[in-house]
Amino acid sequence: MKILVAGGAGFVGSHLCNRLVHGGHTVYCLDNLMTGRRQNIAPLLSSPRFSFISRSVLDPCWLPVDIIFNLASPASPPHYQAAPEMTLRTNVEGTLKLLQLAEDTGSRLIYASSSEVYGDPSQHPQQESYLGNVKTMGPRACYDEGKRCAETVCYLYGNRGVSVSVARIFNTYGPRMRVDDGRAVSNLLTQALRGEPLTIYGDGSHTRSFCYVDDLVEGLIRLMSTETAATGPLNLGNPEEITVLHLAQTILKLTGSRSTLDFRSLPDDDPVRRCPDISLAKKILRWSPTTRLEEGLIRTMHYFSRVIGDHNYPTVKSAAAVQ
Amino acid sequence: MRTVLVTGGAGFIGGHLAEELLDRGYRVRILDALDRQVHDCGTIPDYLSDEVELIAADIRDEQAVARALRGVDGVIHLAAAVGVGQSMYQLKKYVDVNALGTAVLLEALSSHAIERLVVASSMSVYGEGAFTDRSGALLHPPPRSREQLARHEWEPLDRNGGPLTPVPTPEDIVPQPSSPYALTKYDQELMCLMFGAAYSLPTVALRLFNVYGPRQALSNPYTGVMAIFACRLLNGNAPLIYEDGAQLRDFVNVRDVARAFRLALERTDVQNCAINIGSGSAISIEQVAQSLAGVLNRPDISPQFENKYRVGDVRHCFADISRAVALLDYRPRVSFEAGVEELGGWLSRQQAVDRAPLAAAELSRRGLTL
Repeated sequence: MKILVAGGAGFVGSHLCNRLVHGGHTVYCLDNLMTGRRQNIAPLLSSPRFSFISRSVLDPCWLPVDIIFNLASPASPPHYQAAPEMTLRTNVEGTLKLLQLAEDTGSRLIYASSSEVYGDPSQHPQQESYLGNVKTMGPRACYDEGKRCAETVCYLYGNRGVSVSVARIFNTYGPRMRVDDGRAVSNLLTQALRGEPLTIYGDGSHTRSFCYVDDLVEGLIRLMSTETAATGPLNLGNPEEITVLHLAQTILKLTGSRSTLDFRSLPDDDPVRRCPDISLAKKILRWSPTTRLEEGLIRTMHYFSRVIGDHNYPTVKSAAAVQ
Repeated sequence: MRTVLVTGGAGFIGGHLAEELLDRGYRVRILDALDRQVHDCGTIPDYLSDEVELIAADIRDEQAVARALRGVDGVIHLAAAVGVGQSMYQLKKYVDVNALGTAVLLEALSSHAIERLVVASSMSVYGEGAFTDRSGALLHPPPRSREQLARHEWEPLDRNGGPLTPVPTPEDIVPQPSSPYALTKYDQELMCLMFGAAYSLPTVALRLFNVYGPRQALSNPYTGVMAIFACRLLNGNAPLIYEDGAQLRDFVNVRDVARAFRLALERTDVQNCAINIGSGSAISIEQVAQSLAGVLNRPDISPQFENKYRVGDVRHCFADISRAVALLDYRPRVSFEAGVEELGGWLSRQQAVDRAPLAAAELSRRGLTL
């Protein structure tokens, strides 16, 4: 099949492109490299089944494709907070443009939504039916509300007959995640590898669930191939809840680092607890994560130790530079 | 005319043309298959403006072509497989992309009313260029014989073996395509002109001479002698010259070509004909190699003379541009010296893989060099 992956040079997107190309598909990767990186797709550039279009999802584009994945958006707080308007537009307008393409070409669209649509949840674990606890203001709103509105656009087109699936992706980690993305795994791994104190916000008792990227990609591929396009959203994540303190200790053990722990107060708007209920994905996709945390962390650690030593690792372009 | 579709618009000429059209206030849409031989690794080039609407599809894709024509007022058809040498053994590809691709476009145009069609043709349709004999009569010699070439007698002769003098080639000599590439370009040109006449669509063909300039594909060993020589020089190797280097060509800067297309688009009263787009002056292949070595600061590298004939090559061909001047008010602005200087500046910032020896070996293996 011919598949467009918007945001295909990013962390998750590049793993998805890789799986699709090796699965025999023809892949068009659309990415303006705002947070995506050319190195992530470098191994694919020699494949005759892979094309890279270095543009924004907002730029006018039309391709004859069978499947569209929309993963285009900065995804980590420091990146999207640096470009809030761009983040909103990329999600809402970008999804709208791709849905028009899907309608025009009769292709199917899979939108990468986020567990952030649940905000700071009062229900645990979160089921797809949970409406969320979100704010229209605050530093995370551009992302959370961007994802929520993009979902609305998806359902709108879904009702018009376009084949649409929405995946609500929970915390994901693995090789190629950005060293500077400010998230728990990348922060703690970087600090441990550099021998710096590990920063823990709060007392370390708040929990996260971490899904290894290969598991997530498997879920997305199954979602692409499933006969019944889910009419509503579908959670994709790892339901195994671990505390940030446990994560830090595991990282110290795996890296053999002598770093100390540095406890700080929780930042504004940071959800205390987030964990997916994946019964729907289990039922519809027959999918659940299989990679153990330590195994995934070891593979991620190998990538980080390579990248941290690389002084050419680029920092994120400012929003102004991208616009 | 507001919206223009440029097929093959992500390529070397298309990119400059898109800029020219955007500068003049047109809305530009391009249809481009992102061919891996032209675009390294199938990557859409970074220089393409965000304002350009991209249709990433093949010219033979009927659905995509129909979509590309929606709301379009004029079409400039550049999409083509390009390369004389390669067309000698990838015949099916050249016929498919160039002839069938044009047919798909025209069939779609039969149900889309547009105001203007401009098609890119090529100097290669002429085969050998125009000459005068000792009496001063204009003539268009047939291809040189294998026997003559085997003796390394490179210059075309008249019927009695007398010498000929190369002169600027006018449009009205009878084309003698000497490669499948040239034949398919002639096919594109004729098919567009006959379609235009049949449907009363003002159509014109531009016969491009050797187009050069910044952003030309460097790693495609089949197109553009300037790029091929530059690749060799950038990698510290001598440019490989077929025959003796005295072949005359007409190198026209890509910006002049882009302007010519814009003029052709706008002058809808000019129709049903082919027009040469060149610089109007002749330069030898050896001079080209030397000029490039100069601007790339490698005057120490002299060209290497292969003393071989490459099947399909012509001896001399350069443009008589009086028709373009008269009908389109086209006047080339970039001199060869200034153009090569600018090209050199761009080239020295490029990394280019030198695939010329591979291409030469491929042609030799197939018996396409003598």
